Amino acid sequence: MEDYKFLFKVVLVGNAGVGKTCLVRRFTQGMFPPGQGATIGVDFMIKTIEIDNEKVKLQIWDTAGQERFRSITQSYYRSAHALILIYDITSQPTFDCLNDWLREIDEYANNRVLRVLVGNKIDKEDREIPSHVGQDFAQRHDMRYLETSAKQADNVEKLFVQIASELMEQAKSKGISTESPQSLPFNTRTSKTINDFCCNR
Amino acid sequence: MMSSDGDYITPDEIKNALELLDKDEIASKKRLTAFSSQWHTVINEVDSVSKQFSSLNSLKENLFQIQTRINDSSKLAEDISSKVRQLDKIRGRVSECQKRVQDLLDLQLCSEGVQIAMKNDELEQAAAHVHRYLSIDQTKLQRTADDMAQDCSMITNALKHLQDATELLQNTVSKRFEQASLTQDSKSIERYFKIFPLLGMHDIGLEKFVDYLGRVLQVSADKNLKNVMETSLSSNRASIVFADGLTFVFEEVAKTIEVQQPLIETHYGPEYIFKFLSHLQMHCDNFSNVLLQTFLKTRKIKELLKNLWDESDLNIDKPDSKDIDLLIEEIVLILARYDLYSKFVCKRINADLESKTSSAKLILNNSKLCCSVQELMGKYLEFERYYMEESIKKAMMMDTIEGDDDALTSSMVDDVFFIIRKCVMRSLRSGSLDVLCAVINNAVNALETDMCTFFGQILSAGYPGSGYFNRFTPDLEKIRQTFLASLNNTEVAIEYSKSLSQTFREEIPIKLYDCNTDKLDSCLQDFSRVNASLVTSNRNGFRQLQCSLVEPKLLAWMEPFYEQNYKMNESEFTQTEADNPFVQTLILNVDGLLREFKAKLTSNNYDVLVVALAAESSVQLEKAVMKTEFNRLGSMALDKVVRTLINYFSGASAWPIREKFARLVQITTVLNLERVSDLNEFLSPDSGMRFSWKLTPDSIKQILKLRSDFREDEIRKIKL
Repeated sequence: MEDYKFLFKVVLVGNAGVGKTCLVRRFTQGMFPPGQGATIGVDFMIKTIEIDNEKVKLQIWDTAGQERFRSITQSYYRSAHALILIYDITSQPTFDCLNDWLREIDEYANNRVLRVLVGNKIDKEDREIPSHVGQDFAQRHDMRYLETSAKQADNVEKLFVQIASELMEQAKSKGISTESPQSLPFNTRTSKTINDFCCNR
Repeated sequence: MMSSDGDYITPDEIKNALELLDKDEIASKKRLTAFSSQWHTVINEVDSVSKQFSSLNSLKENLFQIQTRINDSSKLAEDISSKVRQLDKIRGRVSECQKRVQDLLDLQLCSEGVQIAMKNDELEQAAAHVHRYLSIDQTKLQRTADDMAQDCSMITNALKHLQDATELLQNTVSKRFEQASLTQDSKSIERYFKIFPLLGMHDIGLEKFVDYLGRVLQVSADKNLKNVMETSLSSNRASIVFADGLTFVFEEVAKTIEVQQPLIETHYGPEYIFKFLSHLQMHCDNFSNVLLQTFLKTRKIKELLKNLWDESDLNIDKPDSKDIDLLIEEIVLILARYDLYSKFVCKRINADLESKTSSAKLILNNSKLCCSVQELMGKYLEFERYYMEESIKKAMMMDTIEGDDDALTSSMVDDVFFIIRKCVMRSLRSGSLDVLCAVINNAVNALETDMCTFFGQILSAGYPGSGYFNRFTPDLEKIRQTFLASLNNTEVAIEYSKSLSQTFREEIPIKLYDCNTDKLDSCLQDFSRVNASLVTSNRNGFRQLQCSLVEPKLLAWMEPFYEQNYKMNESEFTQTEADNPFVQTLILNVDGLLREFKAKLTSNNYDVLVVALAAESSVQLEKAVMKTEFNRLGSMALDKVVRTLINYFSGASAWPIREKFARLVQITTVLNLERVSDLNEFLSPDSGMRFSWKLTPDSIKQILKLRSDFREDEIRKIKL
């Protein structure tokens, strides 16, 4: 048996080229792959981290951003414990698409899923989306917000560790077993608790 | 020294001092003689040393001579090695010179040979000469020509001849190739194709050749397309005619690769295979894309997709899942054929250039064909999801309860899991793990949202009991049956879901090439979500059964307990010993109920019900006991009741149920004490009778009070 106490699925989504694969590689392998080609379908990575002396295993699904893979990526939303929605702070179009992504998330994902908005590529000089705009957007949609640089490893570790510890707390407070995190029937009551959970923080 | 008057020295002391001095003197003398005897040897040694000094001088001279000799020889060695180096250089120059002379001679020969060959239209011969000329280092040749310009115009002439000939040859071969390819003269094409590399025209030759191959393939592709379009609808392959068409294209291209690969490797070199394939792939892209576009249009894929999830217009007829099933089969066949083709291409390149594995994948991944196939995968997933969800809905609608003598289950569970298995195994044929995983995800989602919710709703609606109001409920029996069937269904579904995911875990890695099992496992883990949801529904169902069946029934069956007086005299006791109507009726009732349900429930569910009944009778009996007064004999009668009950349930249940009666047994034990003080035996830590109490000290006291013959002050004395 593998040695871990919690297991969470984290799914990364966002437009093509915003740096999903680079973020995942930086976190799981500690490197920045230059000239990364477009992801085909879905990539799968595992990393076990330790939080408060407890082993947490993260299964990370790095999805393709291109439209033609949408049917594949959509199928992963529902089993996700956390969804990371990424845009490129130097590209207005990737920010403009966030609403479309949210619509998709609302349609397919479990409404208790932890949602995090990430503005990537803060190492670049030609920023188009000011930090507070991203922050506002996240707040309006009940999301956590973080800006990262996969290239310079800024906030990457923090992003995943925060997600893991938040999910861990959530799991502990509800006593949901890690084996069957979605065991409760979906209803409005549960969706309310997650909202409370987010607002309290 | 002896300044003080008091320091008189006695004669004894003087004598002693003298003796000491004598002893010293003797010792000194001895040492002196020893030194003097050594003196001679010292002198001798000094002599020999001074003698050796004189010989050292000659040694120094010798050493000096040796040094000069060594210096001389080293100088000599350096001279020799520099000469050898010079010689080497000269030899190199000579051989280079020889080579150039050879080149010049060859040049002359080639120049003459080319002219003759050209005159005779012997292109191979001419090309061979040109090839020799091209293999000569051009810059050096030019320099040689410059050096010798004054006295030898022949070289420049020859060079010029050759350059002209090369150009002429290049043009001729190109032109003739074009002509041959127009007339489809495959023999000449092959002939000229082999000449190109001799003339240093690898890239141009390859390009022209692939263009020619493309034109040949175009003809058969056109014919193929026509065949596809003209296939009659009644043909037995009509439903997969596009997959057949695409298969043909892939086969033709693969055949071409297979035939031409050795030719290119021999005449152009293995490094040109990559270029050849990527050129050819562009043609393949064109043919297959035409077919795929026609496929999408003819099968009305776009319209169908739009209608699948369109809830806005209710008038739109939803596509029939049977038609969709057929369509999916064709799409999967197309995906499978592409998978086969792409494996073929990758293998072709890998076999020769192992390091270029990634670039082999690049040819395909960057191709238009790959892009269209990926788009098709997306469409496939939508259709497959629709088919799965529609079929599950249908299975739920046509659900019939089965098993008149057997446990009640419904057809639905079988149907649903059959559909899931069918869809997942079908997606496996696409050869893509991503597609397969997506179908598994969709399957889990469908099971959860459709099937689990369905059972959950029925089970939380409750089991209509035999209360007054329910007597007027229409279809009471049917509702009960549906409830029990759902209860069984959840249990069966858990088994199915476990075994299905296990089957997938075992079968898929065997059937899928290069399967990332971690990825697959992560998706299959989600089946546990379905199981958890089913377990919840099942428990929920039993909770309902508890409220509407188990509790009210037992409450009614417990009533007669109060009719018996438990402050018995001997004769009453003897009578209950022989025949206890309360417990016999209770068991009769429970047994009747169980027999009814045994036929309707799965064995697992039945066992759960038995345990529930046992637990509830224990609870209810405890309540009744706590409202009754006992004497010694009455308690003994109660003990008999409890034992009979436990024996009955132990026999009825496959699981241990004694635990459920633990409290009741302890209550009976307390009631059966001879004297209040006997309780201490159960309380003392040294007593072997000590057991882990389920009862609180307060309730023990309360139980003791039920014994009418126990005195209050004695009970108070007990320390708990």
